[in-house]
Amino acid sequence: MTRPMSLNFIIPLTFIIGLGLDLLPYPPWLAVIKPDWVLLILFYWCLTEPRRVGVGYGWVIGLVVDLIHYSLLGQHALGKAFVALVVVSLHHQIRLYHLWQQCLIVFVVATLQVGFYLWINQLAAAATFRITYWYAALATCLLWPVAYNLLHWLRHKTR
Amino acid sequence: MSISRSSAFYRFSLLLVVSIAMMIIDYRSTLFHPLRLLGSGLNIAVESIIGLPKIATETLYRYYPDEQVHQELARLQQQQTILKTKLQRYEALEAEYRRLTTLLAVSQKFDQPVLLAELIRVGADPFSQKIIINRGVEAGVYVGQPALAPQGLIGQVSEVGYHRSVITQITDYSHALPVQVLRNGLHTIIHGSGRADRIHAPYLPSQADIRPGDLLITSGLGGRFPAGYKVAYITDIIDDANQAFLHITAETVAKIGFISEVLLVWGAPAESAQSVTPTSQ
Repeated sequence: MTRPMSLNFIIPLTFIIGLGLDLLPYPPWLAVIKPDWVLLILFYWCLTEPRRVGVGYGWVIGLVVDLIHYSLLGQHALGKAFVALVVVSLHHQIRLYHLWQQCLIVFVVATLQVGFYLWINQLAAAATFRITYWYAALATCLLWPVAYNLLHWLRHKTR
Repeated sequence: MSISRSSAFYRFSLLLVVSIAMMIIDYRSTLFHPLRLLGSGLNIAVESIIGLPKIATETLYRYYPDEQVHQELARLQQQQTILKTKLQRYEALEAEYRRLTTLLAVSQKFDQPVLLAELIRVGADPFSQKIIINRGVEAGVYVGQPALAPQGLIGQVSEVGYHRSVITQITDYSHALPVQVLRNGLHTIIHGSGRADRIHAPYLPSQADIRPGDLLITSGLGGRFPAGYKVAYITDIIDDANQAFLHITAETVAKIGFISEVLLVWGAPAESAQSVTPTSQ
């Protein structure tokens, strides 16, 4: 009975840490490749606890990201809900993959997300595609093994 | 496993509609502004958790014996920032008189009220060039207020929260600004490039008298920014024979990487909030 209790506490905590990492002041060169921490954390929980963390959870987390980044309300919410949808509906398959194969999925999801944000920004503010936007997706997928192992360790700590 | 794929899809399509509706409302109206205030509260909460080590060391430092010296130093540094910003305009004015163009429509006031704000962080969204500062409604900050650095113009306030405001930089895609070439008074409009410290001047014909190194200053047209502040130096001019206009790139005078304090001025005439007395502590 203790495990669900502590998971209820651990999952929001990891998201708070993720949001904190997101808000850390980065130097300009690092800001370009800043990984999407929240996406990594969401990916992990959707993969391992799809019953707890799903589309709705992702949407709410995305809404908090919107509020914190002063972006168009609903933009990150929809992006994160989409990530959750992909991972939750494919979690059986993704779990069977190797860590590096999972990296590929993270990369695809992160790229789609960047594409979606770009699309929104094109409609709202005439943004144009720049290859640097895509670096963040690359950095995110490269960090997946680290994030996975850290969160895995954390999750099994609470057992 | 009981979570069916279709229920996830159902939930997603519901949230898709909700999100799109929210984005449209947020883009078109001010309905969600109270939520934005909540956003600045969230920001302060998360920032203070991250900034705990910094706050701790700063507090310790403050109790260091020669507290008075530190206070004096901080005061003088702030004063320096304010004076340097004001000085820019005198430089511009000198050039103005040299050219003997006294036909200036706007009467320039030099003792404008100013408000010193601290830069909290640079916006995390890669699609926009925004910065966040530590003053908001409580200090009388308003949407559209010009923001300056000691070097030159930064941008304008686009969102006001409680103890937090968002400044859209002149380098943002969505930002355009009427400017003047300091050397000869040539008027044009510049656009943000979406990249840090870079702007474009897309509306000058190929015979325009402009060259690399020219300084662009605010012209005061449009009424939003006071005239005479430094904006950018022309770096590249590409003259493509197939295009009607020159492709001009300029580099902003105020580099965002070197800014720690931002000055907000009550510059705009008529509708400006003159009744608010800003504190320049």
